[in-house]
Amino acid sequence: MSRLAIFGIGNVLAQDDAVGPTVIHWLNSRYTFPPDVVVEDLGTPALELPTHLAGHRFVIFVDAVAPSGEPGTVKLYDREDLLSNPPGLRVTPHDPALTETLLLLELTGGAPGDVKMVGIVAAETEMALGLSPAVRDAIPLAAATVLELAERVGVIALLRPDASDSIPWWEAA
Amino acid sequence: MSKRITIDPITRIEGHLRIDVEVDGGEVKKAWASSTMWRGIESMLVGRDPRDAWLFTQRFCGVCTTVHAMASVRSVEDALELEVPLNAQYIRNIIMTAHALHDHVVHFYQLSALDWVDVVSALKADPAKAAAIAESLSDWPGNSKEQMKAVQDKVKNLVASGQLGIFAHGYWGHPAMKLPPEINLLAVSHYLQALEYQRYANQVVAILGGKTPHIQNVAVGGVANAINLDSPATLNLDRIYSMKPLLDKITSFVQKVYVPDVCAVAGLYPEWFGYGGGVKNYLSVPDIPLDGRNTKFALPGGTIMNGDIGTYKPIKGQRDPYWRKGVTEDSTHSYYTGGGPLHPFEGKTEPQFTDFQDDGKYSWVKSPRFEGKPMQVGPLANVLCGYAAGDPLMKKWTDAALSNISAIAKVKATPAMLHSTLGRHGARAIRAAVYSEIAMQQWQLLLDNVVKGDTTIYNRPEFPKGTIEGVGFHEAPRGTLSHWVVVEDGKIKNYQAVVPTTWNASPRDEKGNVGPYEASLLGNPVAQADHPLEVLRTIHSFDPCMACAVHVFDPERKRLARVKVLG
Repeated sequence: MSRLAIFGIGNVLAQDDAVGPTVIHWLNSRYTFPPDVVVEDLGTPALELPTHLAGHRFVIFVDAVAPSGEPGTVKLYDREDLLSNPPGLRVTPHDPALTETLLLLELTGGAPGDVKMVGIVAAETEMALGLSPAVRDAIPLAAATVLELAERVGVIALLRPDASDSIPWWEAA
Repeated sequence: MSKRITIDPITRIEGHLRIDVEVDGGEVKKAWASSTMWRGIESMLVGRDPRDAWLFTQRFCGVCTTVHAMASVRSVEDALELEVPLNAQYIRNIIMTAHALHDHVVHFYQLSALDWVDVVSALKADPAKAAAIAESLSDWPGNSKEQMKAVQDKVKNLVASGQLGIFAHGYWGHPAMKLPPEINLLAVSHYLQALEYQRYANQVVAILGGKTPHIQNVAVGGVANAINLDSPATLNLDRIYSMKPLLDKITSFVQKVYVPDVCAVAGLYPEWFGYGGGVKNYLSVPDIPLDGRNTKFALPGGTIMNGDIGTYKPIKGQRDPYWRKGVTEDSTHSYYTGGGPLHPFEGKTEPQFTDFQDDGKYSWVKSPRFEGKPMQVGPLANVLCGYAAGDPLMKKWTDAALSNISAIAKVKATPAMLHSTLGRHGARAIRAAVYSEIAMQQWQLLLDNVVKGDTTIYNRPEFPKGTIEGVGFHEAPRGTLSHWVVVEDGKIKNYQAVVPTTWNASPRDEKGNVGPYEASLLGNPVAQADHPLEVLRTIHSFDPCMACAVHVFDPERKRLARVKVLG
């Protein structure tokens, strides 16, 4: 069981949907976390999400959210926000998402003690590489929000001596 | 009067499959399968280093991640005629089998069981009777009366809370739901247990692949799992042995829970062996290579035409001209320029969007054809080809499943009945049982080879000047997947992925032949137009996966799938 898991979610090949994994890359290239903290780019976990989500005391998701404000706006959602969506008719395996997974784990056991989501309002999510400028500019704020949530549960990330501005592999030419 | 029903997950950004059916007299007369989103992925790869392609391709899709990594490295290895070390083949094979087992179990329990199982009806079950039925089906230890009662109580609390939680979207009380309460309780109980076993499969993939869902250990030329029996930091005997109990547990769940459950559901809905056949041309490819050049495989593949297993023709490998020359893609009814069939090496993906036109262009999916014919791919194709080829494992598990179904349905189940909606579910369970044995064999082969002293994992690729082309195929959980790559002076010039769902969800082609989804829906019953459960049953049986999910979370979404009925 980990104390805290920070998961970036999203398809890195779909423009602003890459923002979750990009924030994880940003955090990992600048900070180190205690060994009982998981900081991971989950990409598009779909049906594997229950496996990843089970057994953590606290989970923070970082994900692109559908247009519901200015692109690049950073929004914070709590467990009730995530659960307030009705689960839906599943047509393809892409459908089961956060809400369904949380509900499933509540039934089987293993649901995280608490869940938050740092959402970044997306502008473009077509299949193409590269974040739109407003979303890219939101990365430091989204990362700072994650670090602050982590601090609230007693997890202090340390600035790396070798902190870098390296770009993730999907942005390399 | 005919009614048109559209099932369109349009309110959800990640939904890509739209099904339109025209219903008259309670049955489907016409059907269209459409993908609502463009896959512009392949063009992203042009100009890149072929050694990096797998990193990108495994991010194509949120579900079929690993399979795109495998097909990609295989395509480049084929272009280079590069041999892959045995250890690398075994490691890849274990990853692929564990991934497939995870996928099949999840598909049945999480994605399609609720098409057949009425959760609310489970409340009326007698737990003792449910436990007794379970015991008659297998000796699985997780079927006690106490366990059934505990599951029933969980469901009771859920219903009493006024919210069905994860089950809220089901079609409870639909007239097409027919299982007795005890079988419903049994299935719900296994639905919950399945979660634990899918975790074990994930752990096997993670031990070798580094992480899931996007593995990190493959490379063009082999794998990156350094093997050193004396080092704790590499793949050593401890790590190899740590997979054994996980594989044992998955095997036991597949053989003692998944297979019996599918047989029970099938035996209690025998009329569904009569629906959903559709296109009865089948394509599968051989997989689980046993040598470094992909000339020997643990499982066979090939083609079957017109539902006649006597027509079985094997595909011997990715270099077999029958396979290599047989595949084309047509875009007459797809939102791309051009029309008639093109070979994947010459394939184009230039978008030309129009509205949804019943007789014109209506899908982002192309129409792959084999020697000009629409083909059904997936576990059913894989099992039928294996059966036709006389593969001992395929035969053993197919015969066992048919005999179980016969006992429950009290009619003689035959291989011919597999050309149906239920046949696809049955075949997926049969394939999972076969794969549970294959996984163990591959694990043993890896262990023996490493103990023998072979630690080779990688042969370095060297790219020549000039143009080379290659194809990598993989019999993925949803069926035949192939990546076709053209490399010029060490850079990718063209890349085409012909994915399983493209074969099955393909729209009409230039000759007007409908694709497998479309064909399978014709004649399907529909009892209630606004609750087209029967349409979902048939579509779900294919395990649809519209590649390339976009996982934007929509906190404001209200409904997921829209069902629209035009009178």
